Amino acid sequence: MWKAAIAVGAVVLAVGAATAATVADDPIEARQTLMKNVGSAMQVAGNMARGETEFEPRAAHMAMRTINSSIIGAMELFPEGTDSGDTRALPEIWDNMDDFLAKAEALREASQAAIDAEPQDLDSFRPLVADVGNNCSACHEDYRRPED
Amino acid sequence: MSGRLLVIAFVGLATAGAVAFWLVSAPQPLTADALPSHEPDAERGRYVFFATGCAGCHATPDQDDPLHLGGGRELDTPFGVFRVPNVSSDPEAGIGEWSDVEFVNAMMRGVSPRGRHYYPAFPYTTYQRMAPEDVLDLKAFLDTVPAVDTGIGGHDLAFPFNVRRGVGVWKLLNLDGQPFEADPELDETAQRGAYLVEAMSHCGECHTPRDMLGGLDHDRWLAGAANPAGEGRIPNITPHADGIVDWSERDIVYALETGFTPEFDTLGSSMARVVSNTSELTDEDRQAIAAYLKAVSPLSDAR
Repeated sequence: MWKAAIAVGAVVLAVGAATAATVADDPIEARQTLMKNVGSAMQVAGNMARGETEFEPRAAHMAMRTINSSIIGAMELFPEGTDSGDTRALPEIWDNMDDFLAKAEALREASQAAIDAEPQDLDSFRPLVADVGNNCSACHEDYRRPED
Repeated sequence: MSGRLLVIAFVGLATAGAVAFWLVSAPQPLTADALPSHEPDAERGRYVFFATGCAGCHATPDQDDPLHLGGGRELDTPFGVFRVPNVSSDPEAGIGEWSDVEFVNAMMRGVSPRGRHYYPAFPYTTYQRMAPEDVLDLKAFLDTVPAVDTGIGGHDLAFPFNVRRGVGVWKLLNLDGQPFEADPELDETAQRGAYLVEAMSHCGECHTPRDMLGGLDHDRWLAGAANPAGEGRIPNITPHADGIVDWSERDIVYALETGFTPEFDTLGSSMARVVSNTSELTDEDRQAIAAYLKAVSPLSDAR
């Protein structure tokens, strides 16, 4: 039961440290760490939603909290001039910053809704995860470069 | 004297060449009597609409309704810029006035109602394999979608690609007009998947590399390709270490339903639009696609 929750907690701690160290001098690395954090939380949430692992309300809650706090942080980490280098962020982000931030805000709201709902069973958790997932895709569709 | 003969011979050859080009490049539409007698079902057509992925290109960009089919997306390719047409039911700007046979010719022969070739950015080399009944059901559904009256401008293509008759020659190599035939080695589920992938969902149009003339290289089926619309590569989706051999059928089904990879990264860029279609399919059909993708030849990423 606690394994999933501990996994998320460990990720959050690791990211907290990494972010503090790099946010000032390397926003690209910092936002990538936050995005990996979102991915790890999504793995915990998604595996429960898929029925690969057993639903556990506390793990679900921590996963959504991780996504929520990570996206709030990531929204601050796309300053002008960080569209080149080791990044899959597309230049379109800076041409459409309002839309980009609106999409990030939509993910924040979806994850907040999943926190506030305090789902206690898989059936109520599933649509909340789907909504969070759709908001991940909505932004990646327009603003992330395909992998090489 | 011999100079004049040479000129005459040259003009004669050039004329013969032009006539030959004109003859072999002519559009080859079907006639109405080639259609099966079929009572079209718009509700089934709605399903065909998502299986064939029409909205992926024809839905107007920067809005969320897959049935707002006003077109207007611009495909920036090495050949030039293609502007995706309006396929809403509008009689002027869209295709609302088209007859059944006109629609079948567009989908399965790449020929417009005015008898001109469509460019193969429109994947009719895939749709030629569809059952005509499916195409007619799709037509019945498209007749019910809202009219959008936005006119779309023409393509901006470089010479020689702006010569539409050139497409006629290309079709001699890439459009055989043969119906779908299931590989008898495959089980029933994978055969259904083969029909979905090869005749409808047109996965190969991006995931299979093209030869020098822009035709699909069938020896490299689904082995990944250059991104036709920009940077990066379209991934290898064969069951090879360079492809998705590590994905279980369940992983493929889940990705097509939700857009998440087994690592819970999202399928981004144009695949996000594809997932908005595959998420509308039945779970059985997503399983069929997965079974088929597990059964195709494993190929490496060799470029």
